Formats: sequence, structure tokens, C-alpha cells
Amino acid sequence: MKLSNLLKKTLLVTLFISLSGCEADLLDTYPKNELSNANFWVSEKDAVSAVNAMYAFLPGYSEVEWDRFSDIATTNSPAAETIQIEMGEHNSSTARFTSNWNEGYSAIRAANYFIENVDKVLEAEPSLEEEAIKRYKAEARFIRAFFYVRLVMLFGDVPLITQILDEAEARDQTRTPQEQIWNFVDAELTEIANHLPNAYTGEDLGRITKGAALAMNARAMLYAERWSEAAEAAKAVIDMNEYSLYPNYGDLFSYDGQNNSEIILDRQYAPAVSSHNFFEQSAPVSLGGDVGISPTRNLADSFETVNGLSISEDPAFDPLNPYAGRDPRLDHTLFIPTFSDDVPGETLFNGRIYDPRPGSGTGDEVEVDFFRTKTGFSMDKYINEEDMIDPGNGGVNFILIRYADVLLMYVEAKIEAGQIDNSVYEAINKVRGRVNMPSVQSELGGTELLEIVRQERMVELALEGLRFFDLRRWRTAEEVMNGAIGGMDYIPVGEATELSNISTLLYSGTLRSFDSGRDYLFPIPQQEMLLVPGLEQNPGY
Amino acid sequence: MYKLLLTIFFNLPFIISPQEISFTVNNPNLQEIISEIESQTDLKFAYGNDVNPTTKLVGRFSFEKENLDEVLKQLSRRTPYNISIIGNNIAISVDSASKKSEIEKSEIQFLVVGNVTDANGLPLPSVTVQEEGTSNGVLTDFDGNFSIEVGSDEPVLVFTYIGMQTLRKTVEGNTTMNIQMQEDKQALDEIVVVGYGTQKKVSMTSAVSTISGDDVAERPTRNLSSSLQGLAPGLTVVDKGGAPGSANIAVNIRGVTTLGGNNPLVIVDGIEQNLNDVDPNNIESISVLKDAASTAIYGSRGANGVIVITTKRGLEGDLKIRYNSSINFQNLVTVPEHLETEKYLRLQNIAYENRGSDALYSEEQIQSYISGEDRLLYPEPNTWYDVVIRENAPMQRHMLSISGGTEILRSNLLMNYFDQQGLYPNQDSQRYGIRMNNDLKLTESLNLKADINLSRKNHSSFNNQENVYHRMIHSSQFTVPRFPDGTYGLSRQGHNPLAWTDPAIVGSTEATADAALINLEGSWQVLDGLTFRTQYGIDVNKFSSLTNIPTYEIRDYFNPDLVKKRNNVNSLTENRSENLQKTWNNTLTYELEINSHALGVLAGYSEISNDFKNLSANGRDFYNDDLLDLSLGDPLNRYVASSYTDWGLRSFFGRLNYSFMERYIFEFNMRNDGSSRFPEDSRYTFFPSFAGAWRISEEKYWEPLKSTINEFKLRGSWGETGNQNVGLYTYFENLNIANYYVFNGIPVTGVRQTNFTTNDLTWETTTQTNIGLDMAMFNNKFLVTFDWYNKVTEGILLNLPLPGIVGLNPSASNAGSVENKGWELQLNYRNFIDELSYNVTFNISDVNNEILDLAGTGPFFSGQDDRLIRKVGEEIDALWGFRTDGYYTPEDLESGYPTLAGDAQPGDLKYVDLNGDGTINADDKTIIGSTIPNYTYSANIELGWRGFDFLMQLQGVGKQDMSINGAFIEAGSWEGFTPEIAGDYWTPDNTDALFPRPQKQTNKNSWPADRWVVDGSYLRLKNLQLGYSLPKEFLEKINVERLRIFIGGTNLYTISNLTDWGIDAESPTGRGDFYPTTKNYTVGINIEL
Repeated sequence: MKLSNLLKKTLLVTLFISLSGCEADLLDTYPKNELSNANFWVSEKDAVSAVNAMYAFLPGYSEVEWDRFSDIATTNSPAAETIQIEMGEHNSSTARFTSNWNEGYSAIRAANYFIENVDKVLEAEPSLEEEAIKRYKAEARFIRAFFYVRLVMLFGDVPLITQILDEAEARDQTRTPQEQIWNFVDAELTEIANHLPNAYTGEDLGRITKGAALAMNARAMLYAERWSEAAEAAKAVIDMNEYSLYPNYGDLFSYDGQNNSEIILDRQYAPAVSSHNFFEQSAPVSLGGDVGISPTRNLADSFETVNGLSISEDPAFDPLNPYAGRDPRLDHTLFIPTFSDDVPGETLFNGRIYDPRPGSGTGDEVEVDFFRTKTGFSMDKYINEEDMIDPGNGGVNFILIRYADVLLMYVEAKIEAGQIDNSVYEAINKVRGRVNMPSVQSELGGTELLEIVRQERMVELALEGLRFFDLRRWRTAEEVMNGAIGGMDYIPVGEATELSNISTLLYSGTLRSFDSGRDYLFPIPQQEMLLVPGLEQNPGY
Repeated sequence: MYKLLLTIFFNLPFIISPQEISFTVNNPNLQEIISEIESQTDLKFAYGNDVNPTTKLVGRFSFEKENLDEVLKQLSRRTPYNISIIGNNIAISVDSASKKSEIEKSEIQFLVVGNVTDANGLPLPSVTVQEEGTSNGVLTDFDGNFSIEVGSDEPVLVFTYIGMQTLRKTVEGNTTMNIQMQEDKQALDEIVVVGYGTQKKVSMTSAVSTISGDDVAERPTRNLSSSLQGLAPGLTVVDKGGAPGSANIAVNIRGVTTLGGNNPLVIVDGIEQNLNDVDPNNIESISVLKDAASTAIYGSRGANGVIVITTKRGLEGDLKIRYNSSINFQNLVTVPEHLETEKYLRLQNIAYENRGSDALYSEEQIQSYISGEDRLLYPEPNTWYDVVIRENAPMQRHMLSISGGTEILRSNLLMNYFDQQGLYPNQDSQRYGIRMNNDLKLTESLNLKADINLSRKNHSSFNNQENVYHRMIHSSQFTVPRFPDGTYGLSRQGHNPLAWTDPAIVGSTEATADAALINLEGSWQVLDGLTFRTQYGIDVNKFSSLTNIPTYEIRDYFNPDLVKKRNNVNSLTENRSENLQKTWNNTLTYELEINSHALGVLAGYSEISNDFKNLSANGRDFYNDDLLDLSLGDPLNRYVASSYTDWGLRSFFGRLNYSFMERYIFEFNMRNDGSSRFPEDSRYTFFPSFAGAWRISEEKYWEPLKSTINEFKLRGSWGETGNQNVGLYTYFENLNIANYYVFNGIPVTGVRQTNFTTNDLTWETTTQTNIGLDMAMFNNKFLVTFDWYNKVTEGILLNLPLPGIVGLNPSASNAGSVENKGWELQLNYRNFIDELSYNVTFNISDVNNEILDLAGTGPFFSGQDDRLIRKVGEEIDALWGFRTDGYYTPEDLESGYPTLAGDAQPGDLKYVDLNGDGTINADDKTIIGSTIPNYTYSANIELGWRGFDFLMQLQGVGKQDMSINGAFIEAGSWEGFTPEIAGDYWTPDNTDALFPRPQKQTNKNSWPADRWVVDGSYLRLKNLQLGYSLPKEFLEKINVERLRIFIGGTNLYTISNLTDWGIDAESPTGRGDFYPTTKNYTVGINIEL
């Protein structure tokens, strides 16, 4: 073999490889379904898109679940994790706490990221008005404050983080005393109120308003027991003259009532594009739902008679027709169950009578299977006829703050601050007056009045996810959160409507236990304790 | 890289075949002469068992530039052997002429003539044909013909040939014998397929196990993965069952090296492919590359080991037609026994009472359940194993192949069909495939391979099939499967596993996967020993599925007015994806032998690119359930989603091996991989490996031992490999864009960061040391292979949990290190007793795993109730839970022993307060077991007698912890299947019970605890097969080459503690969210024309 021949062959092989061509950009790949931070933040559109993403953090219909940890409702399925919390068997590994913690800080991170980056838009587009950016920032700052309020309510002291953290920085964090967080929340919400409009129209309807910031601050300050700040914030909302009570209490939670004059902040939904399955989860069985939540007798009994008296006080109350002549809100909060063969319950949208009595043979019969009500009561709020056909694809908005809440917060804050004046009575009677309940008389003392406003919050805001937090700040949970759960009174099928025939349901499947030394706070999640060594656990865990 | 190639070129010396032989030895043995001649020529010696290479020769043998032919002539004269050149070999045979004189002259009865061929019908020259019990023997000639005069009454002829299985044939009056010899797979000069080439087994330095295609084809399994079980030490296959069209089979080589995917790389004819896309009937050989010496040439993809498969190619000769067919009948391996109805009802009553409720069942009701007179009102507790599971669900395999060719063109065409019905109704899958391998010889030095592989898989099933088994054992007690009018019953929790298999209720999915692989390879022999190969492979995989969810209503049988379960709105989802992978491999190999030196060089370049596209669309609310057109749904209720990802890999690799006298062997491998998964400046990584072997048995001083221990080789290797299990695009700081929200009913676009970004990702690197031993004894009948290894993986890609307060999803980072230390032993013995041949192989391996480092973090938990832990110093995913100490006694509770549940009672599980702080909480948990099996072993026994063949495979695990979960430990606390053993529960009179005090609706006795970790070791009759090949004489009449029928089975019998629990030893742990494992009965036929 001659060398020249070999050379030729070598060249041939080399040529082959070169001609076949290495793919030059073989290793230069980039993602095709995401944007890069490097070339984002160049137009107002980017700022708007980025702030839009904040809204997805707003909690929605799942807020109702909080009331399962209160005296007005219980978890329906005995297998659900929330039962552990009701029974006091939870611990720092319980999954719910981790998700509450992580959701809160995800929202805070997203807001911090937005706040740190959005000014780049101004540089890129100098013609843009600074006011617009201020508004977007205010929306993000609201979300951040909202979740700090939530985290403090659930966990007590939590790390206060106002800029984006890398991993190493995160490991050095410790819990910030809640007083400091309340200060932060107060300052933030007060300031951004000035950057936010009173209202939006059209395609912006549903965004965070000045009223939302102020009302949120009232809620926070009430929790912080900073009574005058709370009263002031609530007063500021009232003085905006932007809001009024929606005349029809029942329609507040319906498709017809969406975006009405009472709503200060809600989680917006729409069928198909951003839907929820609240109906499927929560409606009674005979409407095609799974009854996720069983309201308790405690709630049902707390609705006064039309005379403005409790059922034990009012001689007009008829134990053989217990749901007649009651606060009209009872009917809009719960489906009225059949009491006896002669006293039928509420007629459901599909024409069936709601009869959960044992032996009734209806789909709603108590405790036949896991998906039946445990107490006889079923949730009516937010259960809308429109969702019956496609129960997994609901679109009704879920209200997070409404004007009635603000009025009652105002009342409570004023009472606690010792500033009972006419505006207090005016506010509470506005709420009662909407449903034609008798006015509260002005000669009552502070203690009695406090009792009344707490009772009013319980019935007005029942099953909206607020009762749980109210019990926490009032520190009254241990009084009402122990032992078996009360269900309805009824007269068994086939028996005459007589006092001696009354049976009472008592659900002992979930024996509740509330440890006042421990359970006013959730534990810091186990995983977080390991990852952030400076965190200290809450007492009792 | 071109530079690299050129350098190799110009440094090549030229090869000159010596024509002349020179050496001088005194009183040598035959072996020394063989070695001398082999070292000076290209030729190899071949001889049968009757030639003793240690034969001492007398006198001085001296040659000076003698012609080879002359040398051989002289040797023939001076030794008792015939020595001659045949093809590329020098054949040594017993000199028949000289032996003939020794044959007892009186006994010559008749002359036998015949012909010997290999399995492909090619003539075999130089086969030793010997009459058993005598020294009478001849060699076959160049065309494989022989003639021998035989003596005794019933003479037996023994045919021996190196590389072939020794064959014994009784003459039985036949004067003409046509013999076909089968390859001896275990012979030491076997060629082993390795990365980008082949090597002779004797000169291997690395840990590679080989599996022959026939061994795999014999097993009537549903895919290749399960066929591989127990066939190679260190290759662990855990078959966790699989529904038609899917498989839950974990395949890993040498333990769990990483915390992510541990699947080995699978290379089929040079191209990466999915293991289960290869038809087991079409495999020529499988090599399992285990140590770094063999896997480093695959660089960043080699850390989990590599399985290299070659498929069958056409051979020169007449057309050969093969048809294989088998039918399997699938059944559940384990059917747990439910607690007897009366006992169960009474247990339930106690459980309710223990909760503080009234007993649920009155005595009258209990009697009604027992009598069973009205099963509509009083159904049995759990009938699902009878009602849902099909008996003898069929599965069939068919394969037809045609192969043959001329010198210029050889082809192998193979078509296959596979059909599997499910254990559940309404479930089946089919696979059709066609593969054509072509070899074209263009010129003496130019060869072309063109392979095409097309396949289609269909899969049809009701939806959410993993829900069925889960519901059979959970939350479905006391349910009438179907009422007389067809209405489904529903349990208290609203379940009916039978209804969950009905497409009219849960809907169904039809899926199709099409694959096309085109593989072109050209090879050019540039010079003697220098070969250039280029290969281009295109692999296209298309997948489409259509899922429909119908409307339905399940009404109450007794009150039809009541709808208990329904779906009001139907929907359709269509999903399509396409994956395109292109591979381009170029290699240049050079082989050189000078005297006793052998050198091999390989240099290569490769590119792989991958593009994946996915599109899915969904519509709702169709006019009826039969419409399958997405455009007909509600126009306001549609969604579409798509994705597009790509990656690329560019690699330079090489190998250098050198051996001296096939005694000292050295090898170096390397690969430099560049991947698109990393930022530009950290894209390339280098993976080297070194290996050496010493065949001590070739040393002079071994000679006295040689006749007993024929081969003794020590091997050692060290090297690095990588794992490319990295997410794509991780180094981009990306913002996710989606429709996050609606304002006033109008969806808006939202953009935000969701994942943490890391910029400094690099490969996981596995450093592996391997020490091995190969030994052959008793005329190569007994083979031993042993390997010890230590594998340390560093920079493990881990989604380290970020502190929640960072607020982003974690992304992978190089954190942590895992060590796997283990050993593997394979023993093989083959021999025959008269006409009974046997072949026994035993494999055992063990691996110990330890997490060395987690970058200062951890421990991390996973699984339900944090039952698995990853912690430094422990095994990956060790079992985590409480220790228990029997049951609480009244004294424990009086003395204030801490309890986990507030309402603990005597008879509840007593969790130990490990840290002694007076409370039971997460701090009292500890390691309670392992999830990694130890001492995995198998024994394969093959017997052959006349036309019969028998195969038995025993397979097992010596030590394994099984963590039991769900219904089987809840024992009636919930609405789950309650096994018979749960009848032994704690009562004040039975405090030594197997199960704690029953209590309804509580988990307090079923938290992860050592009480529920049981011995999961098992021994299983994995495969059993009995075949019969019809006699040749009969087949000749019907013009059939071979006809074999067989029966067999898999998973036929198991010895395990878990049998008491009704749990299969190979099933996954958990709450039954899986498709159960099956046992199969098989009948089949093999025909060759």
C-alpha cells in the first residue's frame, strides 16, 4: 500500500464527515413555551401580564373549608385529612400546613419579584406614566400584604420577606415578631390605597381597588387588636361612598349578584376558562353533589327568630316547626331539612324535597354513605341552579371581602375601642335591616353589644371562611370545638309531629378536640423547620 | 476532532503477513509450538477435546525461515497428530491412520458416512468425529463430510468442535448421518458485543454479561424487559405487573445510583431505543455492560449501565422460514382470602363500639348476611376478585421470519404480532411489527447495511385503570356488583370496581403508537485491519390517543328515582405527539497483530438530536357520546395545549486496547460529551476509563493446573461515567406564560417566574471501580465469573427542597453523593449423562447503597405520611416510621406512657417514645427498613433428552423489607378488604394478637411503623417450560426442518411470608394503585422450514 493511496483514503473519510455536515446549532437549544426574563419588562403589556399572574394566588371557593375547623361546620368525609385537624391529631407533617405555608410565600415571592422588576418597563418605555406603574405595583403589594395577614393568622410570627431571596439567604431567616408584620401590613395597605382607583370598569372589573386595600387593613388591624386603626380603616371604606349593601341577600352569592355594589374584593371565575367545581363538591346528593361540608346544628340554631330573639328566648319559636319564622338568612345559608312528615323541607332546584331524615330513602338521607350530610344540614350559599347541569364547571365568583363585613368590623372595632356612638348602631342595623331583622337598640352596653356583633358576624358571614379566623382572634374556640357534633332535630318517618317523637342527631364519628395551649396556631411545617434552622416551632408541636 | 483522526492515520504501521517461520525449542509441549506459530502468523489453532496441548514432544524442533506448510508437515510427522491448514485455522486432529491400527480389528461392523453443518447449514470442516469409548476417530473434510468405520454393537458417535456444543449420537443402524451442531455460547473464544464494536471474550477486561437471543426468545413474556429477569447477575428486573399496552417493570444495573431515573441506556444495533420496542424473537445477542470500563465509551449516558442488543441478520444460504407462536393464559398470582363474613361483621361491630358508636349490625342482620338468601340486600363483604378479575385472560404471540441470501445480498425479514387481553374486562392491546435487516456487499471492501423497523401498538382501555385494583381493596365493601336489571351497586363511599371498568361509565381511551426506524450503515475496509464505519439512524415515534368521558347515571336499584352518581357533560380529549431522534455515528477502527502483540484502536464521532412535539385538545358537551369530532363540542368550552422541546448531544470517543500473548491485556476508553442541557461554557465533559486483565492461566507456571482450571483471569477497571438526567433549559431564567386569571369573565394572559433557576448545573459523575475474576474448569464445563464493584455517584442531580419562604418550585442542582458497593457471582455448569444434557446457571448479586452526602441538607421525606426518607448515612428511600412495642396495656396508660392519639386504649399499637421526651411525635420516628432488595438470585436449569427440552428458572430475593400499607393493615377500620389473618385481633382475652384492637374510622394504628414492615424475601418458580422436538425422520417426510411444541408457565409457585397477607412479593407497596402481577400458562409451537 502506497502512502499516497492511504492519504487519498484518509482525505476521503475526512471529506465525508465534513460534507455530511455537523449540525452547527445542535447544542444551542432554547425553550419555546416560556418567556425569558432577559427580554421581558419592555412594555406596559409586560407589566400588565405580570401583575395579572398575581391574581391567581387569590384564594377562592376553598375558603369555605376554613369553617370546617370552626363550630359552624365539619368535614363530611371521615377519611379527609382535615378531620385530623378537627380531632386535634394533626402534627407538623400534616400536608395542609405545608401547602398553606408554601402558597403564602409563593405569592409573596411573586409579588416581590414583580416589585423589583417592573420599573424596568419605565426605562424601556419612558412615555409610560409613572402612575400606571404605581397602580400595578400597588396591586402586587396588596397580594403580598394579603398573604402576610393570612400567614400571621395561621402561624403567628413568620419571616417577613420583602425582596426575592436566594437559597442561602432563605436559610438564614428567622421568625419576625407579628407586631412588626402588622406594622408592615398597616403601612403598606395605607399607602397603596392612595395608588389604587376607587373602581374599575369593563375588562378591568375585579382588580384590586382602594376599598379592597382599606378593608383588608381593617381586617388585619382587627386581628392585631389595633382597634382604632381598624375602625379608621373601616370608616375610610364607608366614607368612600362607593359601596352599599346589595338589597337581596340570597342573590349576593349567585350569578345575578356578581360584581354588585357590596363586593369589595372577590376571586373571579368563569365557566370553562377559569372554573371551579364547588357545586359538585358541596351540593346535596339529590342535586348531584358530594356534600363536602356539613354545617352544624350550632350554626342552624344561631339564626334568630324574626323577632330578633334567640330560639331559646322567643316563646313564638315552635320546636315542631323549627325553621319557620326565622332570620331569612337561614334559608339562604342552608337547605332547610324536612322536620317531619307534616313539615317538609326546602324544595330543591330539581323539584325534590330536601329530606335528610334517616329512613327517608332520599339521596340526602343522613350518613348512609360517606357523601351524605352528617348533621342533616347542607350548604345552600353559592349553590346555584345554573351549575346543576355541569357541576364541575362552575363560574360564580367567590367573595373575599364585602361591605357587610366592613360594617361589622367597624362596629366591632369601635366597641373594642370603647367608642360606641351612633355610627355603630347605624352600621349594624344596616346589616340587619337588609334582611328585615329588628334593629339593635341603642341602650345596650359594650359587652352585650360585642356579643351581638359577634353573633351577627356568625350568621351574616356563615360559611364564607371567616368564622374560623374569628374564633381564633376571639380565643373562644375551646369553648365550642370539643366533642361530638350536633345535628338536626327531626321526627322519624311515619311518626306523628309531636314533641315526644323528636329525635336529635349527634354525629360522633368526628370527636373534636381543641387544645387551647396549642391549637390557636398551626405548626411550622416539619420540612421548613429542617431547611431553615433559625425557625422555632410553635408551642405544643 | 479531524485532527485526532488524522493523527491516528499517519501513525499506522503497515502489516506484513510473515510467510516463514523461525523458532527453536527443546523437548517442548504442543502448546509452546502452537503459541510460537500463532505469534508469527495470522492463523489460529483449532482442536478438539482429544488433543492434549500439554503433550510432551521429544527432541529439538528447530526452524529457520521455513515455509509454514513445511513446518506443519514436519510437525505432523513428529507428533501423534495430523496438523494442517484449513481456512484461517490450523487444525490439529488425532492422526486417524496411526490410531486405526489400535482399533480391535475383529469388531469392525460397518461404515458410517455423513455430513456436519452448523446451525445455519454451512459445512463444518475439521470436526472431530469419534466413536465413544474408543480412540477411533476422524476429522470432517472441507465440505463437512466424514466417513468412519465403527465397531461395537450400538456405537455412539461424539462430535466435537471448538466453539460448538459437543454432540452425541447413537448410530442405531443408520449408515448415513446428517449432523447439525449448535454453537456453544459459553465457549471462551466467544465474541462479545461491546460499545461500538466487538471483543473476544478471552481478551475482555471489563464486567460484561451476555445473554443469547435464544434464551430470551424462549420466554413467553409480554415484553423484553420481563424476559431479561434473572438472566444476568447485576441486572435487576422487578416486574411489578402491567396492564395491556403498558408495563411497570423496573430495570436497573448495579443498584440505584441516582435519585432520579435509573434506567440503563439501551442501544440496539448502534441506535438508542426503548427496550420494549425490540421483539425478543429477533435478538442475536444482548450484552449488559456494567462497569466503567465498558460503559465509559457511552460517557454521559453510561452511569446506569448499558444494554447493547444486536438483532438477527440474514445468513448466506437457502431461504429459511421460521414460525413461532404461543398462547398464554394470564391469571392473578395472588388472590387474598377475605375474613369470613360472620367474623368480619362481628369485628365491625366491635370496631364501631370501640369508637363509642352503637354496633352497626344487629344479630338478625348478621344472620341474613350469613344465610345469603338475599344477596341484593345483604351482599358479601368483598367479591371483587371473582367479579372483576378475568380468569385465563389470553395473550398471544406470533412471529414469522424469512431469511437467507447470497454472497452479495443477505436479508432477514421478521414480522410479529402480539395481542394481550387484560385481567380486567374492556382492556386489550396489540403490537404489530415488521423488521427487515439487509446486508449488501458492494465490493470486497465496501459493505452496506440497511435496516427498517416499523411497528404499531394499539391500546384500548377504560379510563383510570389504576383505580380499579385500588378500589377492589379499598372503600368498596358490601356492594352489589350488578343488580339483576344491570344497575351497578355503589359502596358507602360511592365505589364499584366493576363499574369502574365499564367504558359506558368511566369512558375509554384508544391509543396508537407508531414507530419507524431507519438505520443505514456503511463500512469501508480502508486497509487490512483499518475499517471506517458510518451509521445514520432516524427514529420517529408518533403517539396519538383519544379519551372520551361519557355521560352516565347510576340510579338506586331500590329507589330508581334517586340518581346516586352521574356525569351530565361528556368530553373528549385528543393527544398527539411526535418524537424524532437522529443519530449519526462514525467510527474508525484499526486492528494490528505483530508477533505476540495485538493492538486495537477505535476513534469515533457521534451526534444525536432529539425533537419532541405535543399537541392536545379538549372539548366538552357533545350532542351524544358517540361523536368523536372535537369541533362538535361546545364552542365556548375548548382548550388546546402544545409543547415543543429539543436536545442535542455531540460526542468524541475512543478506545485503545493492547494485549500481549493474550495474557496481559490493557484497555483505555474515553468519551467527550457536549450537551445542550448545559450552558455554553460548561457544556463538555470528559469521561475516561482504564482496565486491565491478566490471564494467569496462560502463564507457564499454571501448566500443572491447566487441565483442571483451564482459564483463570483477573480483571480490574476504573472509570467515570455520567448521567444526563437533567431537565431541559434549566439554565434559562424563564417566565411561565399562561391564562392565569379572568376579569369580568374575560381570560387574561399572566406571566410569572415559577421555577428556581440554577446556572451551574453539570453532569452527575459516577466513578466506578471493578475487580473481577473469570474461571473455567473441567474442560470448560464449569464457568465462574465474579465481580466486586464500588460505584460512587457525585453531583447527583437533585431537586433539593427549597425552603418554602423562597417561594419557587425547586429545580435540580448537583448536590449529594451516593455509593453502591456490591458483588455478582455467576456459576455455570454444563455436561451430559448419556443422552441427557444439562446446563445449570446460578446467579447471585448483592448491592449496598448509602447516601454519602446531601450537600448539607436533608433529610428529605416522600411518600404518604412521610414513609420514605433520604438521609446521609442511610440507604436511598429507607423506610421511616415509628418503632412499636406490642400493644398498650392498661398499666402503660395508667402510668402515663405517652400516646400518639388522644384516645389511645389498651390494645392499640404502642409507639415507642424513642427520644424519651414524654410525647410521641415526628421526632420519635426512625429507620424501620429498606426498600432495596438484597441477595437477588436466580437459578436456570436446562435439560435436554432426545427430543425433549426442559427449562426451569427459579428466582428470588434473599432479604427484602415489605412495607404494608392500606386496607391490609387497616383491618376493618375503614371500608377496605380485610384479610383472613385480621381475624386475630386484640381483645382483652386475646392480648397476644396479630392485629391491634379494632376501631372504626381511625388511623391511629396504621401509621408507618415497624409493626407493618414484614419479611418480603421470596423464592419463586419464575419460568417452567417443557418442549418436544419431533424426530427428524418424521419431519423429513413432511419437509419440515424443525417442529417443536411446548408448554410452560411463569410465576407458577412462590414461597414467601407475604402469601399469608395475600400480597405478591413483586407487587409495588402502597394502596393498590397498580395493575396486579400475573401468572401465565403457555402453549406454543416453533416451526422451521
